[in-house]
Amino acid sequence: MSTTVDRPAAPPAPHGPHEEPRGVVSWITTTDHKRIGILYCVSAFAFFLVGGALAGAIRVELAEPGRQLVTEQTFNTLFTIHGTVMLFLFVGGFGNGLANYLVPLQVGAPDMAFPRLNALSYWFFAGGGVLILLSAVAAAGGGAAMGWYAYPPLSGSGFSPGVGPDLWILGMALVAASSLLSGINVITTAFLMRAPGMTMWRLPIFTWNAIVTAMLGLVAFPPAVAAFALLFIDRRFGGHVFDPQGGGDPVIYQHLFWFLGHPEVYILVLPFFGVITEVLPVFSRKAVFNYAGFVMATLAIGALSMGVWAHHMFTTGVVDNPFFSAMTLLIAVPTGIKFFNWIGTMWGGRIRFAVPMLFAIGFLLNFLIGGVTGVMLASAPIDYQVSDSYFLVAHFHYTLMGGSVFAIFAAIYFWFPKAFGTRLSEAIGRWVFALLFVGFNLTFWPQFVAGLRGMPRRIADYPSGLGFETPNLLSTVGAGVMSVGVLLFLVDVWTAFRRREPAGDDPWGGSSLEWATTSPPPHHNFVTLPPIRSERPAFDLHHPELDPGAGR
Amino acid sequence: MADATVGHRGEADLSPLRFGTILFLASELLFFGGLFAAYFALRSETVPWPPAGVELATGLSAIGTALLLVSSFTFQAAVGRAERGDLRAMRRWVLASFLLGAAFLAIQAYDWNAIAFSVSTHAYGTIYFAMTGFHGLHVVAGLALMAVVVGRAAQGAYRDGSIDGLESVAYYWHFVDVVWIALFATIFLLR
Amino acid sequence: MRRRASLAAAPLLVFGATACSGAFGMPRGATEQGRDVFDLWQTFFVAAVAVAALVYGLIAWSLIRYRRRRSDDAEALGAPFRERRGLEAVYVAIPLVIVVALFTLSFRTGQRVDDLDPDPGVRVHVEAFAWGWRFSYPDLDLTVVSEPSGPGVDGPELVLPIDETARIELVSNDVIHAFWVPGFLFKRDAIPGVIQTFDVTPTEAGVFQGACSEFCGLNHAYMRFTVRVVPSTEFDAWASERAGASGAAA
Ligand code: HEA
Ligand code: HEA
Ligand code: CUA
Ligand SMILES: [Cu+2]
Repeated sequence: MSTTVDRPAAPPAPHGPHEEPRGVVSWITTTDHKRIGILYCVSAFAFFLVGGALAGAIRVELAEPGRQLVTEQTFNTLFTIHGTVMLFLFVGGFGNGLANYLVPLQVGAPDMAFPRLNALSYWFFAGGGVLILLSAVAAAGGGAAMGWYAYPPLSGSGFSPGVGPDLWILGMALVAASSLLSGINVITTAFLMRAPGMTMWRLPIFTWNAIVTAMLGLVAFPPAVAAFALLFIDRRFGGHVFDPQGGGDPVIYQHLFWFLGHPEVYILVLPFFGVITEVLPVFSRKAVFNYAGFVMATLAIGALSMGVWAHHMFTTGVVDNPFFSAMTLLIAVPTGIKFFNWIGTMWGGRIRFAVPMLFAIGFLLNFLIGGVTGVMLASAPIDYQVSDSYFLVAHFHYTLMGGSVFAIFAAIYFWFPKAFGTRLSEAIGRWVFALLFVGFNLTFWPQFVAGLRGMPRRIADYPSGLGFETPNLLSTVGAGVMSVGVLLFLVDVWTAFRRREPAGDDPWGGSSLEWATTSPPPHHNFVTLPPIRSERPAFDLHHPELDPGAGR
Repeated sequence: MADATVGHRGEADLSPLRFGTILFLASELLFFGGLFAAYFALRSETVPWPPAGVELATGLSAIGTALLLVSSFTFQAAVGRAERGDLRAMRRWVLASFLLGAAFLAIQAYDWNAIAFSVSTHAYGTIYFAMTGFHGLHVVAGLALMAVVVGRAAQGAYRDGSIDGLESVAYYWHFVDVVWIALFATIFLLR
Repeated sequence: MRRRASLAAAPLLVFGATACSGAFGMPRGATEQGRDVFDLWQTFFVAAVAVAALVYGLIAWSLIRYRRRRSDDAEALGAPFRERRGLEAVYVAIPLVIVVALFTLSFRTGQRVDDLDPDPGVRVHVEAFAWGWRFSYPDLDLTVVSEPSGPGVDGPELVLPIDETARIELVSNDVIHAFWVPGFLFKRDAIPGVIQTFDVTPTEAGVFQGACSEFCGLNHAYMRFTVRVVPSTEFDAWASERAGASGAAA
């Protein structure tokens, strides 16, 4: 086999980024998966700043008993929008962005399978995001204030008459549609657009995880859209599906919602498990440990996550608690496989503590706490106590903020040089990491304590003398520390674009195909593709002295 | 619909468009699955079911069902003709399917008007209108797709034998048909 | 690099420190059912700490032992440690065994907590509404209701006799609420259209805080109540004094 494979289908690519169209219009009309990926990630990060600002307001209000900043009504809107924005617009959007950017590169394709559909899905996402934000502010009769899962009857027209919830529902429907379309695109691309030699068992783990994430989205979003549609009909056309007074049943909504809601949390973490699995081997200068195990574990998590939704409903007393408890506990096993594989990947390595690696380690340390507290919640009787308390709030921030968001920072520091051809600063990055790590644990560890002492979630105020004051104050201070970290990160990005220090095509010694093309990659990704004879084609290319496929 | 990146094919030579359509329909199935789940949950909790005073036009809907069922066959005939390159016949068969689908919609519209309860009468009314309504929207979308197919054929598409677009529409139309049969069986026969 | 290792160990130490008290932050459970849950919690917590200690230990070890040293060649690669079938089987099997054990314990406790006594000592009908509580004792013809709630309002008082099983029937007629008494380690949602029944058997006298824990709109934060557990003589005295005086606040 020759050392390069000619690309039969791609049109002769104009080389280098400078020949690409510039300007705002070219970004709006783009169908290039890389630009769409960047649009997703940048918008998602903007949503993070918005969601973070809302969180800041929550923390100020809860710093001590009594009113600090906002009324009860505003507070209720704050956490509703904070939750929705962070889950669906920030972490979900960023996951989609990474998949958009990376999957075609990693499988060696010139673009996504359906580029125009891809652009459409981005604009659905952006439009949905705008509607969700509008639902908070531009609403006559009060913003959406029903919590991120919008349980009826509270979210019905009787108790939430304003247009806020309607905008929220429409926004969510658009975001769901976007997620469906981009999921179809990702799966089709990964299945049908792979370069010669890129078999399924050579796909990078990130791409595997993106596939499973997309599948979860395809299965989980539609029933939730059905629930939102019925809720909308109840609200605006006088329907009664969820209205007990009219012969309906609000519990049906809970089932339909959590059938999405639970897989959604894995949609929000699997791409980032993938990120960690890309970062750890590169900075350990090793191949991934137990590749097949990673793939099987991802598939198992995906499959199991379809059968656990009612663990969010243990306290309703109307579901089969033991069944859902057992299914939920089982997820600890495949997740454990991943943890031990990650450790195996570092084992025997030559570990470099570059910034992406620091964030990956932060991910491991934080997520584990989120995971083991999840196991506690999975026991129905224990959940009777900790459900809907700050213990639960701490659990999911450990998985989402401490886990997914740390992985997002790892991803940014890791792929930024690839996407923009310039590097972020190692020195600033270390500070960003330190501030976020310390601030994060300072914010959310005390929330476990507050929850165990009996503090319910979603309260605008709490009584003094019950032991809630100290944990809440610490929590607010921690959020302040995190804010400094986030601002410092923005400084880092700003200076990186000013310095424009050339990154090189493969600054870290990467394994997957994106490291075998230029930084940033040309219009159709590859001028020539290296031969693909293992799951580390870029590594093989840069280490011709090692026989590829030796370790297999 | 010619929105597919030309690229390397994996081992299976399935066209991206058809593959994507199948994925899309899988998710559509789950959307209706959600509605069906809501229906059956309500049904199991409500006595009597359907509530007193609900009269369904089962006979009329059976005719609609038959029309929709036939339209699936006529559309498949259109695909068969297109495969053989007979685009004129193909267009005729698509037109036939279109008319059958439109007749189905007309029956639905009549039923919606004639029926004695409304979306806000009770939970049964809501779920009845929601299920038939969302299905009806899918039929409307199917008719629009057929119009697109005929239009594209008039512009010379499918002549080179690449009929992925047509086949994808066929998948969709069969899907809409199958969903209706399940709906009909659930709402009208099983009650 | 040492510094980073101690960073890794820090959360572990906090875990350890909380562990010394034995309750791991949880109230001990002032009912028979709650005590059961408390015991289960202890087991889960110890299991969690054991798992976390093992995983943190392994992570810390890999980071320290396999960090790149200054003397290392910058281009040096890691060892070709990529697959160990036997090892993989072990780390599938051990967590599986742990979760099966945890499930079994949790299942048993769950059954006891959800169990309904055929002959409860006292019945209370609890109605949650936006934003307050109505506690009525059908056998005693006695009702306690919230005043309109707000910041600083304590909420009504639910009085229960000690060592007697109280059968609670929980309903709501507007939105979903939840009845939570942290000291009892128990909560249950009040869902319109559903009548919830559960038992609590208080084993300690005293006053316990209660709160609505399902978000129910504007004044959710203020939908609080207290539970006073008293000896049965005192309970009877309270009941006869209050009998008929429905509607009055606590
Ligand atoms: C990224 C998001 C994410 C992730 C990955 C998880 C992961 C898990 N979650 Fe979490 N969860 C949320 C986000 C997430 N969760 C959110 C947002 C909510 C609340 C929604 C709301 O109410 O607003 C929630 C709520 C929630 C509940 C509902 C509680 C309630 O409402 O009362 C439960 C109950 O079972 C639960 C359990 C679990 C479990 C068992 C896991 C497991 O997947 C964890 C598995 C991982 C490990 C266990 C660690 C690694 C494993 C090992 C090292 C092997 C050995 C370990 C053992 C044998 C224990 N979660
Ligand atoms: C991915 C998900 C995610 C993430 C990352 C976060 C991040 C954070 N969350 Fe959030 N949270 C949720 C998901 C998430 N949360 C969900 C789902 C809920 C439940 C909602 C519900 O009940 O319905 C919730 C609820 C929730 C609560 C409970 C509210 C209640 O029940 O009453 C609290 C309280 O402390 C909180 C705090 C925080 C904090 C301090 C952060 C911090 O980590 C944030 C850090 C970020 C920053 C500090 C950015 C700062 C920004 C700037 C400095 C720039 C600002 C400038 C401009 C906007 C121009 N969150
Ligand atoms: Cu009632 Cu919250
Ligand atoms: Cu869940």
